[in-house]
Amino acid sequence: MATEVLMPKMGLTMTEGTIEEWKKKEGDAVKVGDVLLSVATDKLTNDVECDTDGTLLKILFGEGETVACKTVIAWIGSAGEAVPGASAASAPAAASAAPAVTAAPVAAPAATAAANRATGGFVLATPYARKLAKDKGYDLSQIPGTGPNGTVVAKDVESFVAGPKTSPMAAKLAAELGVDLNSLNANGRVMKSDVLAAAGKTAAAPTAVPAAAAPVLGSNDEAPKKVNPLRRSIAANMANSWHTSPRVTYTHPVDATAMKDLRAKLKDGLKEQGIKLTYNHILMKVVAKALTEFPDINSSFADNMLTHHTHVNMGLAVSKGDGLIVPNVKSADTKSLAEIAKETENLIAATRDGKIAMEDMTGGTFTISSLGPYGITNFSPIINQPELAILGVCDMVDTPVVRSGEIVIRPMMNLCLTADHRVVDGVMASKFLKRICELLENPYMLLV
Amino acid sequence: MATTKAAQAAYTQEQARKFYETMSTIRHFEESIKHDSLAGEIPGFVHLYIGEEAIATGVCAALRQDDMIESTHRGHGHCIAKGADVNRMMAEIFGKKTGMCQGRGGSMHIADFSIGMLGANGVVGGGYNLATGAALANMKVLKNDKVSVVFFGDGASNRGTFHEAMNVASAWHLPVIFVNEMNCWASTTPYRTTCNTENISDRAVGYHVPGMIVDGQDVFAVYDAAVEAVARARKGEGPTFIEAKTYRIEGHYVGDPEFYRQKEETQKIFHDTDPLKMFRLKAAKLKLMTAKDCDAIDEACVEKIKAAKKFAMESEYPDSSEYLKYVYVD
Amino acid sequence: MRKLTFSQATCEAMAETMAKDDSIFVMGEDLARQGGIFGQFKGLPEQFPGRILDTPISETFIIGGGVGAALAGARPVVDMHFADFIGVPMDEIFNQMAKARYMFGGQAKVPLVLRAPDGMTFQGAAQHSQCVEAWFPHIPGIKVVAPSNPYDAKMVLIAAIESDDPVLYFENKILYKEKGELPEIADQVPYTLGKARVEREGSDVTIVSYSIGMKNARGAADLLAKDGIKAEVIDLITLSPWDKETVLNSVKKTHRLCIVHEAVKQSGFGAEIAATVAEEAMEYMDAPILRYGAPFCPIPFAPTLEKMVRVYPEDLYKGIKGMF
Repeated sequence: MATEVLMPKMGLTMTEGTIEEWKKKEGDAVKVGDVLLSVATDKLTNDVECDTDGTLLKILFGEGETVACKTVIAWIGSAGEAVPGASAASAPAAASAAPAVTAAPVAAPAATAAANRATGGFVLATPYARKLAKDKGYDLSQIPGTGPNGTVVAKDVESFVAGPKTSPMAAKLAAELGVDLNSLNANGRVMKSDVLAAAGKTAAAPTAVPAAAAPVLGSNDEAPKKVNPLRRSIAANMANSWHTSPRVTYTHPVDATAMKDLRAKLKDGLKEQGIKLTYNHILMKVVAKALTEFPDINSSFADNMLTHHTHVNMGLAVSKGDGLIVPNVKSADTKSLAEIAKETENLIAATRDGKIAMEDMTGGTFTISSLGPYGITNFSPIINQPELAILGVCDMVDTPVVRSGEIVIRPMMNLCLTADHRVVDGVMASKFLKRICELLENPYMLLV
Repeated sequence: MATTKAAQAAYTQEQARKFYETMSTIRHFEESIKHDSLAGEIPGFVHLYIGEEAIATGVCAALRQDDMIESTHRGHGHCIAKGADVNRMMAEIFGKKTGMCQGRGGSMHIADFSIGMLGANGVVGGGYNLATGAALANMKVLKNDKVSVVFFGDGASNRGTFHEAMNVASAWHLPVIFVNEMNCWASTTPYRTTCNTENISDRAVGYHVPGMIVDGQDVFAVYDAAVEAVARARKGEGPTFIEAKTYRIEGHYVGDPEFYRQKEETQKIFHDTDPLKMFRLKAAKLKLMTAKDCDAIDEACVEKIKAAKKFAMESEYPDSSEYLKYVYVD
Repeated sequence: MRKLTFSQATCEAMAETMAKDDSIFVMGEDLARQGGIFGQFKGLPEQFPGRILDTPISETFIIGGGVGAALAGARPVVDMHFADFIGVPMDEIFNQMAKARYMFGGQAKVPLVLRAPDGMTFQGAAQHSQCVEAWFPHIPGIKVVAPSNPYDAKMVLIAAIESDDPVLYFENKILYKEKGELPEIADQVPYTLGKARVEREGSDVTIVSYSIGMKNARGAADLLAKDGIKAEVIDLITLSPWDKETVLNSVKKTHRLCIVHEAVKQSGFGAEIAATVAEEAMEYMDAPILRYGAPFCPIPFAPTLEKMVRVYPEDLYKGIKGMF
């Protein structure tokens, strides 16, 4: 009897995934441990290994298609064996404890929409879910389903946060330009200008609308290529952040002498423990400490509700391929420098290997992004939603400065803090940034 | 085996008239039904009693109005003999709402509970237990002296229900009379191929039930046998088995092509044993009625049946919206 | 409140009705001398001499004669001994009993009750253990009841006897010995044929059953309650006509339905309930409708096999959990 290959659920909050690349094709012999395909979510891309020996009989969804977790995406069996119909899945009962979709619903429409395509436009939903969606005026195809085979059940509808109110013109324009209305998150009604702004800032967001208009080709344009899932989600996230947080960037120079000295003194000892200490690790430790003194910055804000986070989950922007992802170290405020360093290294390795876990990609409360290696001396990083601030780290440059009336050469490093002015006023931001610099210039204060 | 020859008691002219009138009514009713059924005017199955009129007439003449009879699919004769209104019978057979079953039964389920006619039964052999149960109720529960009669053919006597009812009736001495209309044909099957006894009433011996064989074409003989049986029943002496020898002149149902027998044979038997003809001969011999008397009754019956047909034709079908009425009492 | 067994409760029903109406009588096998094979007629032959009759082993007469007696004006209660034997008088039930009122255009009525002890005991084997109630709601003209507890046993039997329609009364053999509370006779509430009871209110899932199936329904509800799932438990009591309205109202509230009966699942009465809910309340359902019944197998003799054809509360518990 043929075995199902299911879209894996790679983490508690994952509801659907995009097939990035099939590493095997129909008819190939496969064995346990072979990589069958790579699957991308908005947070990460992972390889999916085969768990049975046999022949890959049939692939049900192709590259670029997005399906709900636990959907059958392929069949493995004996060569020549008949494959059950697409609907004959022995999917487990709807016991998957996926929590409700939170406010980062970008991938959702594409996911269920892809499921629509697979079932010919018919959304799997229980009758009651259907009725609730109709009563609430929701589009069923926008709601991710947690039931068997991704069936939408009542609680999915009940916990669904619908898209923003939209003017008819904006809705039409959004469909034409391929802008996901959910990514706009405007306060109040989404108007035409919001849509145009979003369209200008992002690549075509992943929507189900096949009628998304292609950009007009001029003689100087090559054929447009659809970008990969990671880029798509970065694009959407950045546009969303731009529109969500009214931000101001504050720059403060810091004398990195003490930091360099700290690293020099500690790195050999940590090397014996197998830890390679970097300036980023020190920054993570220092910023985590500073954040404990500014709880409003270690928070999230929505609908006039401010939620303090008990611990600092410190995120570090890491490049992957041609994109950026941000794994985070949980409770960095309680961890030693060595712990932070070791954990960060592991996260980076996992990221590079495509094995990062969902839990490490979510739940961050603050982000550090370093462009130092590229000689950047100033930049205004974009906040990683739903955080309220982000620290950009620039290059360390030997600079002549005045100390006690004398000109000396010091390694000066600019720190650029972008903060959400809805919650973090200039004074708070400045005090916070100043505090970071204080700690970096006098690390002994970390002991106090 | 007890074979009782019916004694020829004295009959009044009134009785004789009633005998003939009943038989003639049945005959003309059935002829009319036959005609209309062949013409395609009557829906469903009809089974004719032509040639067997003397049995229903003789038995029912011995009963009171409140005595009960269980009939068969060939039940028009029993119904008329028990005293039913031919207008309402005709209407029922045509499925009109003025029929006694309000058009819901038709020929095979014709019934008139007001005169103790508990229904024709579409299930061959369905009537024994009903009649025996009625007898039980009357005697032991309602404590009256009503008598039950179940009519049945030779074919029906092979059903298990025959044996269960005969046994109980005998064991409990119930006031039920088993009247076997031995007409020699069970649909297309002659009785000799399915019974190893010459007489069905031979079986009565096995149940210790007194049995009588009578000439079913002789209404007087049937009547005498019935009177005896009824008297026994009312006295609490239990059941009686009357085997009335007759012959099914018509096919099993109207339209039956009768591939299983020779038409000449049946016509000859009819010619020789037609109960109305037999009556005329006997009535004349006993100086009870003349041929002219009989003819007059025949003419009157012709008119009576014509009127019944007219009544049926002019009646309406039951209203379609009432199809659920009478599924339950409440 | 008094405590009686199911069996005693039926005796009370018989005694009360027979005392008031002389036209009620009882016939069946092994009733007068034995008081019924399960003692369910105990004391009645003495109390009503001549009105409880031991018949020969002649089921077509027991039922057909009962119909005839009813047509003649009596009110018979006929006993089937074991429901498994109901195949013998099937013609008497569906062609005579069920049709008399209708096909004779309302001239007749058949105020008869057919009592049929049903259900598995232990090692009763294939021909003495069956639940066959599903065959009869398919027949227009008769009514079918199956009480689950002593109070209902009494009041439903009274209602059946007092009804002018023929009623099939399925009484489970295991339930005979079970005790339950009944009010004083002056306080007892008459039962209306065709009405179900919401025995337990709940918001999360509706469990429907009748007769001994109610033990599984109650058991499952208890198990689910420990997990915080509140089941609404409905006792149908009457299968024909069944209380559609109560069941529909319930599933419109809970959005989940589970049906259980001891009888075989395939084409069991649960199918009628499931199909009706799917037809008339589809848009309220948030999970597939579950039915629990015996597997499609004659009831075996050996205990290791017999236990496989039983339904247990744990079965319902597992299935219902999967609905959430």
